Order: sequence, then C-alpha cells, then structure tokens
Amino acid sequence: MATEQTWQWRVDVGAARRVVALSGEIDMSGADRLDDLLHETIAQAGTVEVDLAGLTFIDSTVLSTLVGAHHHAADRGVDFILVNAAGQVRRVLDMTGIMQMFGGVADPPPAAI
Amino acid sequence: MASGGTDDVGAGWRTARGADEAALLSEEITAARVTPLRHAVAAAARSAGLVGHGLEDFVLAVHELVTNVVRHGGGSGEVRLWQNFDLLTCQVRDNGPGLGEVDVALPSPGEVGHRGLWLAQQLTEGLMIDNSGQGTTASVTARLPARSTMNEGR
Repeated sequence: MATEQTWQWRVDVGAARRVVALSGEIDMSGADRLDDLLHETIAQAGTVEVDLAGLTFIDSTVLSTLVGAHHHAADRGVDFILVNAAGQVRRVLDMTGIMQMFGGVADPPPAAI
Repeated sequence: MASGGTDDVGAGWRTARGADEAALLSEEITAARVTPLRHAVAAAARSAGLVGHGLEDFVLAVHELVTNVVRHGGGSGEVRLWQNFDLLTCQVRDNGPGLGEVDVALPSPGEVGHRGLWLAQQLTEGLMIDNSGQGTTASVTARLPARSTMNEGR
C-alpha cells in the first residue's frame, strides 16, 4: 500500500543517549514504522529522547505507539523521554494524560543567554 | 474519485437532508486514502471557515472515525462533510460488523489503544453513533466561528 511519506525521522547517536527527532504528520499509516524505529533505538541506548518539535499531527495510533514504547523501554530499564511537544501534538498528549505519565514534557528551556 | 454503484444510496442521503445543507465533500474510505482524506477534510473545513484549534480538533476527530473504519469497520466506507448554517458535520459510514458495545471512556494513560472515539467526542461539539442499520454511521459536528459580519454587543 504505497502512500506518500508524510513524516521523517533522524536519530542522533550518542554513546549512551539517542535522540529520535520526528517531523511531519504521523498517522496509522506510519505507526508501525514508528514502532519499529522506537524499538530499534530502545535496544541500543540507555536513554532515548524523542524530539517532537517538528511533528504537526499525531493520532490515537501514534499515542498507542508511544505508550507501548514507554512500557517496552521501562521493561528494559531504558529512560524514554518525550521532548518539545507543541501545538496539536502537545494538546493531544496532555488531554489523554499521556504527557503526565511520561513525567511531563521537557519544554525547550527558556533561552538561557 | 468516482464511487460507482452507490448512486441509489447517495440519492437517498441527499433527499433525506434539508435544503439548507451544503455538501462540501464526499469521498470513499480505503486504507491507502486515510492521509489524503484527512488533508481533503482539512481543506474543506478551512474553506468553510474553521480555523486554529477548532480546525485541528475537527480534523483529528474525523480522522479517528475514518481510522476506525479502516481498522475495525470492515476497511471501507464513505465520508461526507456538509455545512448547515454555522454547523459543520462530518458523517463516516462503514459496512462493517458494527461496534457492539460502544465505549468512549478515556483509558488510563498506560493503556495501549481505545482512545479514538474518546478523542472524536472530546474534540467536537458532539459525536453521534448509529448502529441501527447495516454497518455503523458516526458523525461529529463543529461550530464555525462567527464570520466578521457582526459584533455581538458586549
């Protein structure tokens, strides 16, 4: 089922920490790929940070993917963190209580200059 | 995208609705069409005057209903969007086995799944589910913001 790619990802690989930066719109057509990506990353790092800054749309299937990855990481003793959620993404995470489960979101720090 | 073979159904729907209703969109649902359908609904709702969070919320609500059709409603169906004065309604129909017990409660944050209908309900003026006929029909409604015609006295 070929559909146009509506989202992108990039992984910054550190020694102990990996940052998965997501951008675009993710819905049910991308949820499985996202699930694979998060599981692969969780298998390879002690801390996984998911940077949501570039995401403009998520749906309930993506919420499920994030919750599932959270459990998977917890089982393996991996810290799994969401950062920089904004707009629609932030509102949906907040209203479903998922952001609170992740221990709140690390907002971009107020420019400490 | 021509639907083909469903002309009778379409005609029935049209006559069942009032003269004040303006049809904005009518599309078939398939798994491959979920994303383009969302974009089409967003464009139509924006043209009708929905903006900002209201637009985002309505688009996600409709998308959740469409996703339900693909995942649980037999995989195919139909989306219709229309405007009636300041109300925008989107109806999503499938030919699936029906939802059975309809539970729209918010699951606990740690639960995987079951948030679609709750989101559709929370993000709109109302969610209606009709399981009485063949398949399931779900509708969500949004209220359009007042156009810049009049200021209500304050």
